Amino acid sequence: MKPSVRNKATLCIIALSMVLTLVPAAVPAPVSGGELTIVYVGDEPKVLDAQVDPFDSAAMVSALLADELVAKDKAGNFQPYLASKWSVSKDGKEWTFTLRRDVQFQDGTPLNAEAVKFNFDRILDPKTQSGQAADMLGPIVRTEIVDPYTFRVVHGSPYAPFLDSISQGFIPIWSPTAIKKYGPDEFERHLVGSGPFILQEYHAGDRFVLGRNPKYAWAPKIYKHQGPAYLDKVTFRFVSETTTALAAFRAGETDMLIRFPPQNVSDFRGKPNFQVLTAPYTGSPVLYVMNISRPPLDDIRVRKALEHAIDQVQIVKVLYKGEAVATKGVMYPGSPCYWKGAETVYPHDVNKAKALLDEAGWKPNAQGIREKGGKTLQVTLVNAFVQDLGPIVQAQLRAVGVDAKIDQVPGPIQLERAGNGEFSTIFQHMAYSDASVLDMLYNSKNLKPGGWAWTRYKDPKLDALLDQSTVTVDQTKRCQLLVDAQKVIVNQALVLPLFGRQQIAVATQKAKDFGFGSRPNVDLWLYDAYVEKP
Amino acid sequence: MLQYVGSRLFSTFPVLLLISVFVFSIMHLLPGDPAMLILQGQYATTPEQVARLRVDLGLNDPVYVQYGRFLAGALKGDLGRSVQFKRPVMAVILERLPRTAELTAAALVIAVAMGATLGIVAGVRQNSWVDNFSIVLSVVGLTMPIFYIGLLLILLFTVKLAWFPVTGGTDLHRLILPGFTLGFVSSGIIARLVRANLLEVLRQDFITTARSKGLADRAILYRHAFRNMLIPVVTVVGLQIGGLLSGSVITETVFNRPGLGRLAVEAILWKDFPLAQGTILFTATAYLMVNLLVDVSYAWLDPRIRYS
Repeated sequence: MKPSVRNKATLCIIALSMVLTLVPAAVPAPVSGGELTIVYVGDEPKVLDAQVDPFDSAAMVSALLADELVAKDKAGNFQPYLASKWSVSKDGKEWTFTLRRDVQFQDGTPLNAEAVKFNFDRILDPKTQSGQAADMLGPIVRTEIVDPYTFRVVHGSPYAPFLDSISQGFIPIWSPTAIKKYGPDEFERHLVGSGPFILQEYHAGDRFVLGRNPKYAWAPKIYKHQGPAYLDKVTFRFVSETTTALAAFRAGETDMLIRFPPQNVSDFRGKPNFQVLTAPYTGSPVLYVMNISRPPLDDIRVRKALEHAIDQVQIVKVLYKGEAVATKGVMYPGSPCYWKGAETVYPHDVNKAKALLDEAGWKPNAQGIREKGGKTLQVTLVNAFVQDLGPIVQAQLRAVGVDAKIDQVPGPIQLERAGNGEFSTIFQHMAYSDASVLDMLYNSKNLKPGGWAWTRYKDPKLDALLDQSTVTVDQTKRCQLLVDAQKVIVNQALVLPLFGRQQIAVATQKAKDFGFGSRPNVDLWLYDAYVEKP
Repeated sequence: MLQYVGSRLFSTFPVLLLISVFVFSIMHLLPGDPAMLILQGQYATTPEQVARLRVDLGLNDPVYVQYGRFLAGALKGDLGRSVQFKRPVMAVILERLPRTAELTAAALVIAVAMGATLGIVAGVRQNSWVDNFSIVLSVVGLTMPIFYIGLLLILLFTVKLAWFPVTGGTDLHRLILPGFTLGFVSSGIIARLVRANLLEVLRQDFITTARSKGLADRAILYRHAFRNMLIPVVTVVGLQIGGLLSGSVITETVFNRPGLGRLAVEAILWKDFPLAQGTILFTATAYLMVNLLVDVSYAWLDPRIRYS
C-alpha cells in the first residue's frame, strides 16, 4: 500500500488532462462554415436567460450569445472583455470598469455604461426572480454611470468572488433595447447579446439553434483568434435520458455529447473515430458530510478512523472505471486556493483506522462489528443521488468494523434530513467556480434552513477565517485564509471526501478546437471551434 | 341527446372539484415549507428568497383562501405561474399540448389499426396461427414495460438500422417510433377484446338468421357483426386514451419529446408545484372529457341506446 504514490498518480492524471485540454486537436488551419449538433445530457434550461435561470445549462448557452464584463482564462486569470480595464478601490468596495467603445449588440444597440447598468439593475430587481445571478453579484448597494463608458459597482462590504462572478455566463450583458422590447416573459425566447453567436431558433423542449454573428470583432484574448466565429450554425439539444442520448450519438444524430456519463467513456476512448475531452470541475467534491453533533461521529477519533478506512482510488475505479478524480481534499484539486496537503493527512490505512477505533473504545465483536457499552458502531449513509456509491463505501467501512447502513432516500427527503440533522453521514456535492464554496459549506452561520453547512461544526476560528476570506479582495491573502480554513476542516475530519467529477465531452472527429474553460460546467468554448470539411 | 350531454357535463363537475382539491393539496401535504422545498435544490438560499417565493406563491394566506384563489383561477384558465419557467402555467401547457396530442393520436391510430386487424383476423380464423400470434403479441404488449419496448425499438431502428431518429429529423418522422411504442401496448388489449367480442357476436341468433338467408360471409361480417361488437371495444379504446396519456410520461422521456408527460415529470422533479398542479388538473380534465365522448358515442353506434 503506497498511498502517496497513488495520490501522485492522481495528480499526474489531472495535470495531464489539463494539458490535453490545452493542446489543439489538429493542425490544419481553421476554415469558416459548417455546423455542429451538440447534445447536452441533462435537462433543458427552463429559462434560457442565465440572468434568471439558476442552472449551468442556461449559463453555458447564454455565454455563447452574450459577452461578459471580464473573461477568465484557463489558468484562472482575469482578462479584459467588454471592460478593457478595471480597478478596485482601496477598501475593496468600489469596482470601476472602463468599457470598450467598439461593441455593438446584435440588434445594433451600442454597448455603454448605461447598458451595463441596465443589466445589473435588472439582475438585482426582485421582479426578475434571478435564481443565482443576483446572489453572485454580492452585497451591491448601488450601480453608477461615471461617464458614458465608465461603469461602477459599489458593494456594502468587500466581496472577493466578484470578478469570478461577472466573468461567468450567469452574468451575460444583454441588449437593453431587446429586454424592453420583448418584456419579462418573452425576452428569454429572443435573447440578444453581443456574443459570437446569435439565437436563431428556439423550440421549447426540443432544441436551440445558434447562428454566427458576422459582426463580432471583440473576442477576449483567452481565445485563439479574432473576428467572427468559424461555425455557421450550432444546434443544442438537451436529453435527460442517458440511454437516449447515447443512442442518438451512436446513430450519428449528434456530433458531440457533453456531460457524458463517465461509466460509458471507455467505449469511446482510443477509438479512431472519436475524441474524448475531459476537464475536472472545481468546487467541493463528492463527499459524505459527517454529522459531528451525534454519536458516534461526535468523537474525532471515530471520524479519523473513517477517513483512513476509505480508499478513494478504488471507488473511482469501481464506479466510473477511473473517469473521475479521486481526492482526499475538501476542494477539487483544480480549484483556486486548493490545499494540496489534504491529500496526505489520512492515507488509506486499514490498520491505522482499526487502531483509532480501538483507542476510542470500540472493540470488535464475534461478527467483526465494533461495540462499546453494548452499542454497535453504526453509521448511516444517506444518499439520494449516486445509487451505486453506498455499497462500496459500506464495504470499505465494514472492513474496519463499522456497520454502515445505506439509507437511499428521495432528493427532498435527503435535504430535509440534512436540515434537521437526522443522519450520521450524508451525500453532498457542490461544483462551484469560486472558492467561496467553502464559506457556504462550512461557515456555521450557514447552518440554517436552506443553508449547506451540514456538519454542524461550530468554531469561531474557522468562521472567522471564512468570513475574512469573503471580504479579502487580494487573491493571495484570500487564498492563504482559505488554505488555513481547509486545514481546520481536514484536521477536524468533518467530511469524508471521495472524488471529483469531470466535465466529459465525447465527439466525432468532425469537431475541432472546441474546449472547456476553467469552469467546465458552464464554459463551453465554441468560438474557436470549426469543422474540418464544412 | 343534448339533455343527456348536458347532464353528463354537469355530473363531471363534482369529479373535477374533487380532482382540484386533490391537486391543490399536493403542495400542502408534503412535509415542510413548499417555498423552502422549491429552493432547496438550488445553491445557497437566502431567507429573503424564501420570503419572496412565499409571497409569489401566496403561501401566507389561510389554506382555504389559497384554494379559493386556485379554483377561481383554474375556472378562468389561469393556473398560476410556473416557478421554473417563469411564465404562466397555461402557456407552458399549451405549448407542449400539441406534442402530446399528436403522440396520443398516432399511438391510438396504430393501436386501433393493429389491434382491430389482428383481432378480426383472429376472431374469424379462430385457433389459426394469426390467432396464436395475436395472443403472443398482446401478452408481450401487456407485460413489457413501455420504456423497455422503447429502448429496444431505439436500439433496432435508430442505432442498428438508422431508419428513424430519436432526437433529429422532421416531426412526422420522429413520431413513428414513439407512436408505435405507445400504441403497441394498447393494440394487444384491443386485439384480444375485438376477437372475443367478434366470436360472441358471430354465435348470436341474428347472425345465424342472416346466414340462413344466404348472405355472404363478408356481408355478414361487415354489415351485421362489426357494429354490434364495437360498443365494448369503444369503451376500452376510451379507457386506453387515458392509459396513453399516462404512458406518454414514459414514452416522452425515453424519446426526449417535449410533451405534457415529460413536463409533468420535470415539474414534480423540480418541485415546480404550480406547474405540477396545472398539468395534472389539465390531464385529468382531458381524461374526463374523453370519457364523456365515449359515452355519447354509444348512441351513435347503437340506436337502441336512448338517453333520457
